[in-house]
Amino acid sequence: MSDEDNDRRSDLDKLGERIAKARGEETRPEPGLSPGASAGDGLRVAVEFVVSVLVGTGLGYAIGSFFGAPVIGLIVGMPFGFAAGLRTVYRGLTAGEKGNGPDGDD
Amino acid sequence: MGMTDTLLAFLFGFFAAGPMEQFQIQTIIPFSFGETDISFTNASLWMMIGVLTALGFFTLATKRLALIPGGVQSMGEMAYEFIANMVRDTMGEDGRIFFPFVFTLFTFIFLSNLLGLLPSIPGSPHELHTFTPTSHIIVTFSLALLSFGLVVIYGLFKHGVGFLSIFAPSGVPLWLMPLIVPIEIISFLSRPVSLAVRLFANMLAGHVVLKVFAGFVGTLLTAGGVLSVISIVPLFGIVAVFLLEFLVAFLQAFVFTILTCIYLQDALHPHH
Repeated sequence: MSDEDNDRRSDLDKLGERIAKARGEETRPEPGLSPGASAGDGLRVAVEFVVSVLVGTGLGYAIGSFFGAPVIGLIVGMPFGFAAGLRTVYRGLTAGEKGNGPDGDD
Repeated sequence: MGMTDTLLAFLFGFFAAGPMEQFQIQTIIPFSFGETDISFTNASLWMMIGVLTALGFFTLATKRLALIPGGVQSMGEMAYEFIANMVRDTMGEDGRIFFPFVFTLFTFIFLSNLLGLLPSIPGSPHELHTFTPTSHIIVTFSLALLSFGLVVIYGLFKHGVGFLSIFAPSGVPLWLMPLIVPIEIISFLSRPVSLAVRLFANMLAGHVVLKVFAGFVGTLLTAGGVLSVISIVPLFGIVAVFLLEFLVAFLQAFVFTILTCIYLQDALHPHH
């Protein structure tokens, strides 16, 4: 083994250390519960909820119109939309806990 | 008060545009198909620029493939691996058939968002100003419908009537079904709408905020005295919001694609 070989070996080791260090720095920040991420989650959930209510109401109205009673459709559709909104919100928030949902967005 | 103030007032008065003017559709080449207006507009132009940018980038990235990738190649590989991991993590190995679709969707949305942040060329006609196609709900809704249609068609094609079992969660007593099924159907139908609204609202809001802050700078600067000095505050605000918009451009493309993946997962495996 020559000196040159040793030099190269130590260079490689240093590079390895540097890579390991950089990786460590990359993975350190936990994307857990920063206020921004939570606000993003809240906004996402709010959009989903409002959209669900609107879709339920619109669908009720459309089906009601088809049968000639749009108002009854509207009245029945809205609570269903509300329930669907709660369902979506609940699913969205519990999916995040299992770790298979999208995280921090808005 | 002097000539500079008058000049500034003139300049800002001349360039000042309402915060919503940037979203106006401008016809570049008029064209119609029967009664339908299918002109080539600034929206078409910027979608095309996005597609050509993607094409150019990936052509460059795959031109001279090396074992040790150069700058462009490693960026291309990073994009590939990012989406490939997303597809694998959400859908598993058999989700791979959706990779081309998801990758195209992500690239298009990301580039539309990002290129919309480029400053317009000063003095260029309004038709050629920078435009963000994803700030229009018709664009995002079309993309969302594409994903949604793929979920429904692939689900029905693969599982037949069995796909409808996503509307009937397991473990629900039979007498509750008349209540649960409509709720699940509404929840399912609201997916493309919320997908579209989220992307559109984020892009629209970001650009409006930038424009409003820019308006503050102009108004304060021309107000004279102490107010002119304060105009530096919204200027820094613009820089901060602009940087944030880069994050939003990426994040919203990411959210759109990962939610598409999660919905496609339902089409692949409707039984939970």
